[in-house]
Amino acid sequence: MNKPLIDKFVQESSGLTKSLIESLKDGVVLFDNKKEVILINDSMMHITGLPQEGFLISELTSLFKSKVNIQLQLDHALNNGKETFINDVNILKYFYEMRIFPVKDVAEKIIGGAIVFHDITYLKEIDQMKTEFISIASHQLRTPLTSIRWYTQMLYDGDAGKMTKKQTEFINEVHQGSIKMIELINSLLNVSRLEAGRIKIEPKPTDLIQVIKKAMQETKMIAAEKGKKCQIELNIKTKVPDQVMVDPIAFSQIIENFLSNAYRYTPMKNGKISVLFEEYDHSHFQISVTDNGIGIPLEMQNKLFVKFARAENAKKMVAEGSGLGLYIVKLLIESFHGKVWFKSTENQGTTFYFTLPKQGMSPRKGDRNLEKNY
Amino acid sequence: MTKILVVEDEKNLLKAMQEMLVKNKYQVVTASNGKEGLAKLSVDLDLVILDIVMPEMDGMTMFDELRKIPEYQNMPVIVLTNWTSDDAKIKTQKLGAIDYLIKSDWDISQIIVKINAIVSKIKKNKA
Repeated sequence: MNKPLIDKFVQESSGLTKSLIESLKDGVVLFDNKKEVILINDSMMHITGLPQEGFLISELTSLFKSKVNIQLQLDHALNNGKETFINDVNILKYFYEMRIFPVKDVAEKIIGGAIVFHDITYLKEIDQMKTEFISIASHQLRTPLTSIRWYTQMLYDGDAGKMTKKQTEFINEVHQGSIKMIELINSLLNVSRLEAGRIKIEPKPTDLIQVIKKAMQETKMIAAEKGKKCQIELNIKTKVPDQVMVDPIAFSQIIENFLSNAYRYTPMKNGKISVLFEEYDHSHFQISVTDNGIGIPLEMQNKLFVKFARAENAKKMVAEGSGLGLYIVKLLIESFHGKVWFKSTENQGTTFYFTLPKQGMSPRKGDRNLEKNY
Repeated sequence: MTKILVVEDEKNLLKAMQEMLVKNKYQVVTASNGKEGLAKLSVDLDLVILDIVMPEMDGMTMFDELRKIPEYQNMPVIVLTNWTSDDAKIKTQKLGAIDYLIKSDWDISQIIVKINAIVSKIKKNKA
């Protein structure tokens, strides 16, 4: 191809690209290395009310509200040459997904960047409606379930006269069933609120060891009630301050959940559970719960923290279980920037680990506390 | 005899509460909404057990109104509801509620144990 033809081709394709960007419904803005805006499409001008050119990208990003620092993310994308994604930015009453792309030349040198804003206001509204629906439905469901729970317990206790052994056994099944349903409602509410970021984290000075010991005691009591022989021990291998700033409800729910899983999937006799409190690194504690239970099958291991996931061997051993417990625990731990993982061998046992910042949890705004965990 | 006013619109739950409280030797007065609850207030009451979501007048409004009456400014109140709202919990705490219990989270015998403990504390304070 001769040069004039190449120039014409470049000119035309650049015109085409420009037209394409202009016609997009998503807001698009291109900027150079000095972070000066070189192109802004109609949608973006409509979203922000900014003119076509002659302003800095920081003027544009400062119009948006976000839980994360947009400017930092922008620098991060440009410095590392990697696309960055911000889930939830807001301007006026609209919500957007924001993607920041570094723009490179043929020599892979970063010459600027692009930001694409995708409107998710409609999705947010649907999500809000879903949350409200769950909240109202859960209240409506609680009332008849309370009735079943209270009356079956009164029958069981003989408040309406003596029952036969068989009747007592059957009514106990109904009573336990009502409790399981209430538990499921509470778990669903917790999931829906954690996913929506509505659960508040309220750190208070808390004696962590005391919380762990209390949860261990409760697990021992439940095991004894079910006639299960189970040893539970605690090992502390690091210096733990008397008080750490954590949300006591969130912390105890995590511990209770790991202990209850450990207890439920250990054998009837010779069940052994150990809790280990140690240092993870200079700024984190590591807490782990080890059991000698049925273990997690290999094919299930990468799905374990997924909503409603339950392993086949777990279903066989314990019929009930919503598959929400570990998912809730993961969301909770992530909410205070901790890590959670496990090691498991089928038929030998499992260890769950999580980290907790030594400084404790940072407070998080929200309009709800966690619902009761069973 | 310890006298308790139970304000609850769900007839079957009210019946269960009444049955168990009477069995535990309490004198029970009942009301099925906030308006009726206010009408049944008396100075010889030792405790009010109050639901939140009720027709005609909800528990929150009744609680507000009750605290405006000088002789009931220190009346012990326990909230017993299925309304799991933190706002409601905080509001009732500000009005001086002793506890905010979610009905479905407890067996009725556990609720009675809690009431017994609260009543003995109230009696101790009075004595």
